Amino acid sequence: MLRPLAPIKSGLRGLEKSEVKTGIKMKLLLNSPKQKTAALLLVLALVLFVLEQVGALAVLQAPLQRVLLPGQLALYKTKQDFEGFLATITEIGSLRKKENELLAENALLAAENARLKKLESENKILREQLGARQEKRELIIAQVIGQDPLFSGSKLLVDKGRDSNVVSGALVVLKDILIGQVVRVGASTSTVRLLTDPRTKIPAVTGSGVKGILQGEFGSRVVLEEVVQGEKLNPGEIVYTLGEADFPKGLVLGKITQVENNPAALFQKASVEPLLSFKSLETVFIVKGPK
Amino acid sequence: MITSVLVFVVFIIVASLFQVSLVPVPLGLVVILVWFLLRGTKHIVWLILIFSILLATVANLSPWAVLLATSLSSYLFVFGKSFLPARVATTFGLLIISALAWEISLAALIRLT
Repeated sequence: MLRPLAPIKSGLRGLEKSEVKTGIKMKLLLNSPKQKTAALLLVLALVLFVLEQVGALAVLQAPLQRVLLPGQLALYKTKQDFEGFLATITEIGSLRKKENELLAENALLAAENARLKKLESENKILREQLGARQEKRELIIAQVIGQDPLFSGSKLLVDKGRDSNVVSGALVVLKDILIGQVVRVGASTSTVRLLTDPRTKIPAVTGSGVKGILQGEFGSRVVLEEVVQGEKLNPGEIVYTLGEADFPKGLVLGKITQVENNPAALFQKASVEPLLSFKSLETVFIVKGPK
Repeated sequence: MITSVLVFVVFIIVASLFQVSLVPVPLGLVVILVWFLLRGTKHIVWLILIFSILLATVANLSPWAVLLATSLSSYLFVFGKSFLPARVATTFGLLIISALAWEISLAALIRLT
């Protein structure tokens, strides 16, 4: 009767032995202080992950953010002022020439502005006659307080968060120029993903009606991709949002600087330069509510 | 000992603010690695934890991602230091490699969130 049970018993003994061996190995692994530290750090990461998911970390982070916010703002402003001062010193030779160019450009823009104002008033009268309502955006004014902590990053930090009813996905603009999109909201700060971020993809259209997809590249430049061969792209043309993929129509994305046309390729590509330098931004506006 | 820990905590706070507002370089990680060179691994866990929570708060990031990236790059530095010759150039090289590892690992972990 005992014979058939013998292999099972030996198997169990084998299992116990292996369990003992594993236990010894674990003990040996955790015996070194470095390994104990590594295990502790892993446990802490797990605890932080759980606390973040349940929202318990906000209890610590919200007051900390409010305390550190003035310091962040002051440091960022100091950096901007210092960079401005350095730029003035390095460009002092060419400032006179630039001033003359800007004066000429300003005169042309003033003339165009007068013409557009006349058109705007005509447009207003026509809208009133047709009974069309003009969409008005509710905006939250925000100060830029920092940049992406990663060297490769293309994000901005602004001083408005959940406290000011900012929601993830909200668009960030300056006048009618699209700057980016809120991707993470803290208690009193938010992270804005800029147009230069590789994850940015916006259906776009040029002033002459050529459609494409605006994408960020390497966190430093913007390109208009997937433009069908045969369509005419002109350097200097303004690129706008097409009004698809939840982005409102007509927001300015940038200006075409260079067209890369390879006849063998399926699509054309163009480099787009944002109208504003994202690095020198100080104040932006967050569009309230859904996109 | 407590005074030196407090001084390092102040350095970490300043480093985190500088990283977000002035230069996007992991200065807090450098402070932690300097601590390791001076005092070994004692208290290093708490410095990593404080740095992770602080940077995550000021930069609006996930604290667990910062903690994992900082731990990984600190261990890379400690591991390299344990078998490479103790020269200033080697230590400086390891510091740069750790900072790069921090950048890459944090960028990868942020993509998960």
